Amino acid sequence: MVNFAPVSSYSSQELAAALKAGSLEVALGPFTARAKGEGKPLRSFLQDTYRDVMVRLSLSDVTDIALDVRAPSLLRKYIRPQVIPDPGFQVPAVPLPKSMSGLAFEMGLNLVVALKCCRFVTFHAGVVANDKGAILMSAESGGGKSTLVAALMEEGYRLYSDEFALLNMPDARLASYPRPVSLKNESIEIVRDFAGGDWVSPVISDTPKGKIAYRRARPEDITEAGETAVTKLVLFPRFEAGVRASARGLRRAEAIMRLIPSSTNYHLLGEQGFNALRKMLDGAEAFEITYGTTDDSMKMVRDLAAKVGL
Amino acid sequence: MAAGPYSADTLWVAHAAHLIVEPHEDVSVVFHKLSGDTHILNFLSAAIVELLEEQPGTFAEVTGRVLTYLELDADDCPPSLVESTMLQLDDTGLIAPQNLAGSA
Repeated sequence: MVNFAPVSSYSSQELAAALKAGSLEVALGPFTARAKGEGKPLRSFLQDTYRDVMVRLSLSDVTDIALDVRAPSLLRKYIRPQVIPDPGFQVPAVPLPKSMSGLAFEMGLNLVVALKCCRFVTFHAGVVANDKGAILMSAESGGGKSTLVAALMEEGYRLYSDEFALLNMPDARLASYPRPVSLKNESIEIVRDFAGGDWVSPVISDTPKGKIAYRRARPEDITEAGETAVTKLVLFPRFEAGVRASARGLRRAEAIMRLIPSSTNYHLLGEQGFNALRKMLDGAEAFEITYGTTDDSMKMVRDLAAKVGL
Repeated sequence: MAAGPYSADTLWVAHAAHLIVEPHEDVSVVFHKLSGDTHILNFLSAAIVELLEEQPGTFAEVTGRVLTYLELDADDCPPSLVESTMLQLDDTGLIAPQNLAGSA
């Protein structure tokens, strides 16, 4: 059995060879992923953005995820090279320039968890937690979820996930899935300012969503990824430039009905999913928060977190 | 609209075994086990489902029972409102004509 070690402990040559052979096994919270791909962009992305994530170079077990970042056609392997994420099932993926292989890798991991994971109720949401419980943030794209997640990491919360809240069905606790926090456009500089440049990846420009960079998970987020947390606070953040910050308490029924559409697999899981969602909200309070600046949102979240005992 | 044919004599039913009902102050969240759909019902819809779980009934019977249960009079809750609400509940699958007993 080959042990896992951080990406940073391997040489470029070792990582490139494992990626080419499709034998790089990446441990990501409750999942393991087999990663395959060729070229410097993907390898560099993993070395930078996943530097503290545990991997091994040869497969020793069946993995939950098998992700191949590959050319969409033979032509695009050599001429104006492109890549798509291939998770082993057909997905609607727009080919990206090979230089954006890291983005394709992230998209691929998201697609697998969103479409094929039935061990958890998955919600499109950010989650952070401390020893007392978790904050779950469910927002539309552009709602400021990732910026809030990154800001809360600076306040001593552990990163559970930027993209998916994973709700364990038997005990209704949230599982940690500490992937890098995806930052877009203006939020990149905001997070770089408070997290420090060393914690934010180089910017990928001209993506379909504009500029993208990643705030890395910290070693402690990764080593404590086996932990789970009770949900104490559910937030539905909404960013609106220039607006005065406000918070509106939501009744439990409204919170249930607002979380369901953000789940990618709720309808597949039936009664178990419904019961887990109810149980998760048993000890939680829910709020819709509207804000115009990150400072405003953080002040509100601090107050609300204190109110629920976080 | 209803999901199928019906008349004034149609007996309607809701199957408790197919539903998980979580009552709140003024609404109920209902999970329908057969479809996997979750619904939020206002107090009138929730009362109709609850009454039809206890005993099947026609539009007229349900109207009478709803008025008694919610302590309303026909001006507050006319029979046409109960009927249209029942037809909407039929569309969602939460209630059904008794002769289609397995479907609700």
